[in-house]
Amino acid sequence: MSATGTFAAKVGLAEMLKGGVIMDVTNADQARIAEKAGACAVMALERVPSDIRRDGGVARMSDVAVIREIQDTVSIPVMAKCRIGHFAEAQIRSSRNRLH
Amino acid sequence: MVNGLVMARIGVLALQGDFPMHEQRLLALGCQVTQVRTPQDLTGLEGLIWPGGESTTMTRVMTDELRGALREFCSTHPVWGTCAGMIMLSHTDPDPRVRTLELADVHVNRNGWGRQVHSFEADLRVVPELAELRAPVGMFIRAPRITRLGPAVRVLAWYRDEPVAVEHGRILLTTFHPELTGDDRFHRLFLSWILSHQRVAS
Amino acid sequence: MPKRKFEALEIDFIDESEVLTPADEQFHVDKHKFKAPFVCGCRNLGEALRRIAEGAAMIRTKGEAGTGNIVEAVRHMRSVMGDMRKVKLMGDEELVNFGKEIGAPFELLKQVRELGKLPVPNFAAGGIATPADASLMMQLGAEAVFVGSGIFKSSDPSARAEAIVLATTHYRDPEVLVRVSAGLRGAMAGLDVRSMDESELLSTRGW
Repeated sequence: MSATGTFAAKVGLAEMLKGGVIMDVTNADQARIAEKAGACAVMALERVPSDIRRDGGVARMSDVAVIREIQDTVSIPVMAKCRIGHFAEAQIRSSRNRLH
Repeated sequence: MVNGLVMARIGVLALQGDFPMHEQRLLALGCQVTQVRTPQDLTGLEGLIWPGGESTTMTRVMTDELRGALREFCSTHPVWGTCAGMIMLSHTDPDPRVRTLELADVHVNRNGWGRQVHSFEADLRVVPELAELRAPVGMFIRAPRITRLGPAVRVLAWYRDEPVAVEHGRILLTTFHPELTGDDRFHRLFLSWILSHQRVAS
Repeated sequence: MPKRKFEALEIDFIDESEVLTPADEQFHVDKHKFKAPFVCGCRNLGEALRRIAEGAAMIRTKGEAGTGNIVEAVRHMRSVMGDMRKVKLMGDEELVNFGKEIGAPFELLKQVRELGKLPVPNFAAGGIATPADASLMMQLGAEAVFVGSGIFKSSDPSARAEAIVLATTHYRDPEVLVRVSAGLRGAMAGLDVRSMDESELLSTRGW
């Protein structure tokens, strides 16, 4: 018997990040700097919160291509944001979850 | 005192990772536990658990002084590495981001199963001395995969036909996380090593 | 965008985040349906447990992102930790009532009472900009920290990132904290949360 995506496996990754720092990055160069500095994970986003705040307007999920580039650059976990309640954005993030 | 033996004093390396879960398991088994962040923290300990987490982070926050002290301690005391802790005690493909101690004659591929969506739990097959009524569940979180084992290494558990827990001398290595499941047989095995070490010493 | 592309994007953790503009004013994502784990923000214990009930595998404080001001993260972490300390002493009948008060499921409250902590890891986020901020949040009970604008909006991201990492590992060691805090160049510019208009706050998004 073997199962992926169980709640215990999800919490398991959160456990592994304890005692660490998760850093916001907007491109592969920043991700490389974060990893080298000892980040235990990076959060890939289009703009950091202070810029989102300054720019105003609607802030959406970040570009898939940039995330892919960051994933190819670092070996630590890569996180990304979706909007509250936006399950379609979450589906794009997660993969392998069909629309329902 | 249990059977004339002193309560085991075990360290849990606390640079980064799931050291709190190991600490909890050891406390439940009646051990005295120390979080290890500096060479001084190793004083008086009888064994060490090197927990899972990120090997790049552990490499970055480890000073040369601590690296030397850990190398010395892990060569002379029972030590157990889970997941990233296993990587740090083994050999891995050259990567400037990760400097392992290479104390166990084991070669691993970091994140050999892929990203988190491929993390999984599965029943394991174990050697007779670890067998109990039911099979242990292996929790594999972005886990490493063993690619080569030296001749002195003994396999303790398999997932399908792949080794996932091994021992080399008094180094215990698991690619999965026994501390995340309720099953404490690997913690008890490690404790039995410490207790036999105590017997030899006394 | 081709569907194939979506399928191959294997994000390790999804943050259902108040930093982006909310898409639904009534419901959060049903996170149990996904293979990827989710992290969600909270201001208090009730909000944390509602998110866990929906399937969140990690909780973080909301703080007030993008301000470089730690005050809201401290408020949120103190609120969560303080309420958990109260819960530990409650009998069942008090717990039922408290659950109604804070909008939290009884079963999860019972778990909190038993564990003395959240059933999933509890991290800090929203306003962390210095090594001392990271140490403060860890000492208040955070199990790890998120740093957003604080690093790449500072004048020396690499040195600041390293300093915050070391301060998080050695959060109780004053010697290390002094050493890593010395000589760091300009932190990001900070905002006073009290001078901000209600509509500018991100932490009030979500419920």
